[in-house]
Amino acid sequence: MELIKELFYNSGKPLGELYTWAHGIWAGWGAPPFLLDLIFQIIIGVAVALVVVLNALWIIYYDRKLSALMQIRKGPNRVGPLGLLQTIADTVKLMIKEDINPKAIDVLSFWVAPLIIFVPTFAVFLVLPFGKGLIPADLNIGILYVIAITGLTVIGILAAGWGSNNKYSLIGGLRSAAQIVSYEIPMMLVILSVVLLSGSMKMSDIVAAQANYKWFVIPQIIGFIVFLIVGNAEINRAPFDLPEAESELVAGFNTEYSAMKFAFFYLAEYTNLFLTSAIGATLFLGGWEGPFLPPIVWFFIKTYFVVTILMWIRWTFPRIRVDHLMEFSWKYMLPIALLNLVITAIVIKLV
Amino acid sequence: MAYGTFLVFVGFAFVFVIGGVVVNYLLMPYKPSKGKYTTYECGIDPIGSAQIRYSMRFYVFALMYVVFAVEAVFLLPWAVVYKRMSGLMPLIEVLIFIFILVLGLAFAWKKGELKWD
Repeated sequence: MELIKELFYNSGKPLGELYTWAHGIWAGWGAPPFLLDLIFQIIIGVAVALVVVLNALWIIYYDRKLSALMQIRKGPNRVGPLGLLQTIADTVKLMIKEDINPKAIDVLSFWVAPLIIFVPTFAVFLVLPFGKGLIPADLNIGILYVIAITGLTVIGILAAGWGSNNKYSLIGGLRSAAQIVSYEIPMMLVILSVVLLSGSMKMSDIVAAQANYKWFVIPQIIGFIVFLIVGNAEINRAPFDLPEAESELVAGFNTEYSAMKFAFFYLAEYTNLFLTSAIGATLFLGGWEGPFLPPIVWFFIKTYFVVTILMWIRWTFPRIRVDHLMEFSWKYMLPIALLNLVITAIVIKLV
Repeated sequence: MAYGTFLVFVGFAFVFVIGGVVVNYLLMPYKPSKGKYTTYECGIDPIGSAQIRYSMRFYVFALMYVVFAVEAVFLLPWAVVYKRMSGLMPLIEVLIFIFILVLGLAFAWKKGELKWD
């Protein structure tokens, strides 16, 4: 009980202390220490997998309910109380569906695409600070790792588009790749401005730099707005959902996918929504910091606050045109982000 | 330790995806029919392959991305140490660097490379 209390209200580094304590006992038994490390890492991996799955189940339900609310309809309300079991029913349905592989596909890239898309999404959780000391691995390159790993998703999308050998998939995949790489640049520049303020790329240091409610959203308000727009484009959500524009491209790069392979695309999409929001909350809204409630609860409250903003944007604006989309990134977002970076640098030096 | 955790994470994600697909294959029905395995193209038989040459514009944007991504990589170490460095020199040097970059962007803009047509 004491341990759980420590984990949630932690004053020090509970995971680190637990680690040292277990290592002491382990050494007493005379077992090799790397085995214990492996056990710890697997426990962390299981915990994160649970977070990914449960969170995806909830976030899909939340998305559907919120969009129903915004369109004055009821949303899922048949399966379970208030439709809460709808996503589970959908998952089970996808699991027992026949997996259809069309004859014309490029087998290797078609099969490997869900893997390449899902693995980086999962790996980003490595540096998410859920609470003080509650971080799977506090890498000193923290935020750079996030940029690098999420960049890999593009390869998976291209593989899915090309491997499907379907015109809609090809166009969807290419559009998606072009869009993600174009919006990656302003994203990086905005993150650079935050790194300028915190003086470190380590996630725990970035949160620590915002201690005592000096959240970066105030000095970086332009950065935060750019982050929201660009983040929305990075995860291919409306109004930037051109890669899967239903009225023109059926479903974009995942048109030919069915059953579990499709489920992993879907899971990756919603996990990416959560990740972008979580990173936004960490960089701009003070991460897990907050009064009264445990840090991990604050982390989820702030993350879901950003998720709600992104969903609100999604249901408020119509889809923009493809040529406007690319020009919007290079002609508006990039100069604004660059200007924001320069102003941040000047203000830090002169004030 | 940290990068070991990374490897475990990647391994975990692999097991997760492959396990999901294996379970799917164990549970799924198998009822092949001729139409089921054709590529979807609005219900008619697909005309030709989709693995064809596509617009040059995608390539130009990818190239622009590489230029700016490398630039961001150069700026990252500067951003980390910036607060700890005294004097105006780090600021002036970066302003020159960004100015050259903006010149490049302006050139691409002027040449119409940022236009999607």
